[in-house]
Amino acid sequence: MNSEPTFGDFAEDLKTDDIAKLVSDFEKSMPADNRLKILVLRNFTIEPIVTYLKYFCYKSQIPCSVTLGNYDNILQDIILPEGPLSRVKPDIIIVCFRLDQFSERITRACIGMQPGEITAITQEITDFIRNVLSEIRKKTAGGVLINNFEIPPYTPLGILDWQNRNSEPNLIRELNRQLIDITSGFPGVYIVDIENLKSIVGYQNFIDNRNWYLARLPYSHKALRLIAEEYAKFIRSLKGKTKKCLVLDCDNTLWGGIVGEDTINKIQIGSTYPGCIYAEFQQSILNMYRRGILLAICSKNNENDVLEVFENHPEMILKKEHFVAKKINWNDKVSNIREIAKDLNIGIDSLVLVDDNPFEINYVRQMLPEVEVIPFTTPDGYHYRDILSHSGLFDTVAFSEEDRTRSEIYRGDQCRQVLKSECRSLEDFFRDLQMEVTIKNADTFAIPRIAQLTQKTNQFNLTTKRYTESQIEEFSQSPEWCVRYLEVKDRFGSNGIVGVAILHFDDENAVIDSFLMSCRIIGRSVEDAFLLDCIECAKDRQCKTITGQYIPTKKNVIVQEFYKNQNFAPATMNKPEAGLNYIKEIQNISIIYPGYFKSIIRE
Amino acid sequence: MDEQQLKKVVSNILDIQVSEVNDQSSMKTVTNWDSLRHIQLIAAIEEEFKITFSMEDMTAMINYPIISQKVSELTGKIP
Repeated sequence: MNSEPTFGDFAEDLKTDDIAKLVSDFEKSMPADNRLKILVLRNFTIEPIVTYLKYFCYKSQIPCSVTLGNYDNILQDIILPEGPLSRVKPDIIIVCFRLDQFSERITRACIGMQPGEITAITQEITDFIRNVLSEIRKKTAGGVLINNFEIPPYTPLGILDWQNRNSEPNLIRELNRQLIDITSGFPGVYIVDIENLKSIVGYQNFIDNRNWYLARLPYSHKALRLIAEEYAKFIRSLKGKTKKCLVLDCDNTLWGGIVGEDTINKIQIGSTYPGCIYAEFQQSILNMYRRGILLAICSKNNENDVLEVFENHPEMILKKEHFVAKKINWNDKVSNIREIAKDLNIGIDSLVLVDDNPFEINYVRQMLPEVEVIPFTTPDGYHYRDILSHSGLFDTVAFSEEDRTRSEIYRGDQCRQVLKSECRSLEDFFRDLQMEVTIKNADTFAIPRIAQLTQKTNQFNLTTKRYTESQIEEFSQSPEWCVRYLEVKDRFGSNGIVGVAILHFDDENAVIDSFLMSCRIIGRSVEDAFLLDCIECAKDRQCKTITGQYIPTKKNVIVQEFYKNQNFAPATMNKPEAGLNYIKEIQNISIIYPGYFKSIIRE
Repeated sequence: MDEQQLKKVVSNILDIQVSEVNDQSSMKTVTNWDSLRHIQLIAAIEEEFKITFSMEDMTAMINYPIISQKVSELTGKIP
């Protein structure tokens, strides 16, 4: 119960009472409004998780309020008109459903049942889950997290249970498989793998029978922390707080030893100890690259020493081309990190630094508190791979084709920079790029990427409204809404889907609910064509005016003049929301797209 | 056992001042101290002193003097 904290302990070795104090102080210092609303529906006692959940959300700069549903009242809490779901209007709904409470027969008395009874009871369980999810979806498009089922390690027949398909543990495994099928039928519903969390610390650390018998709370506090941390990973992803770029130190991080002192032949990387530690770590970073995470190097070294390792060391798994930015020099790391963010045109808070030097770690933490730092300060690196994975800082709820090719896209960007410096005027540069623009209505293929862009885009984003896939899908099917997305290709390659506009038709006025461009396309005037497309859509619907809105955030200063520059006039709205409104008469205007595009296709 | 250390944990969990933790503190007198806060309190004390309470202890520790006594017994240093 009180085993020593292991690596990556879930709250940086903070004790339960420290966390309680931090949360309570934080709550008192924060305004009560504008918090993310989380509703936890459950069929067992889970109250102490609230503190941990708040803690991990605050840690990701997400102020939240947490409401617990009534004990063992999941369906009623969803359906009743005055129930928690209707009352709270949550942004996130967490369904904590344990078989133990729902049906003791399956978890404790499976052995006495006939095959027919077993089929009936598994059917009852899957029907219940399906019912819960569809009732939630009738009322809200908010993100839904649902726990999968724990498999009890001590089963009625012991070793014999592993042999039989219809044994208790194997039936629950089968239910977990069916859960995947069920949830995939509902947009915006995600499974939280409790079984996997249990395996991280082990059953004996995860389940606290004392709490179960005293209060129907099955989990230990260690487990509750771990579960809360996992929920926060989902919430972070849904709220657009996912990190984008991993900045790596080299010596004693990517390889053992110091290349400047030990020379290339002596550094540790390869198939035998201790080099194998670093080889496996590099392999896990390569996997991150493949899922679309940008990699950068920030190392105090002679550039040639480091480049020689990447080019000539036969055991290196990571190669030069995997990195979109390299700062190998003797400048201080803070300036280097600032430059990396600037070069890649991403917010400094989307960077994660991995470094082994306590001085650098403290310096960066002090000067750039928005950069997440993962310290690799243990004397040897055998935990590195797991620490990085456990952080979940780069985890996303969706994976798109864009993710797979992201680094190539950024490299294309570097070629574009060179061209730009060679061109006489900006318009020449645009022409030389030979941009081909395609603008379409949201389709099933694009919806994941569209949702992802609303969740992740911070800079060129007029309203910064975050939407889930299910919300985008709803808009795209509603006659009052229109979701447009934009793809760009040029002579250096495809940029993929880089723009999203969401229009809401309100009588004879079209409201631009969302208008955003990925940071990688900023500065190529593609937005001019995209806005014209929105105007054309509004005209097609017989709208007389189009209204744009700018909601200022810390990050979107670059678009504060956007509508003004596009000849929209400041406006006061009938239904004013926070932000500045702009309006344009569109009845009598003709639409002419800029001439520097190779082609503009509208579908 | 360090009495101040115990009082700090109790005050953090019950969200009251350290000075408010005394021999009169009990589930009856402290409003925040409900049965669920109690479970959190037990977890925090176990963590702080690296001890494990029995279920009997858990149900018996309804006021500060009893908590203090049980912690002393388990840490092996009876004051």
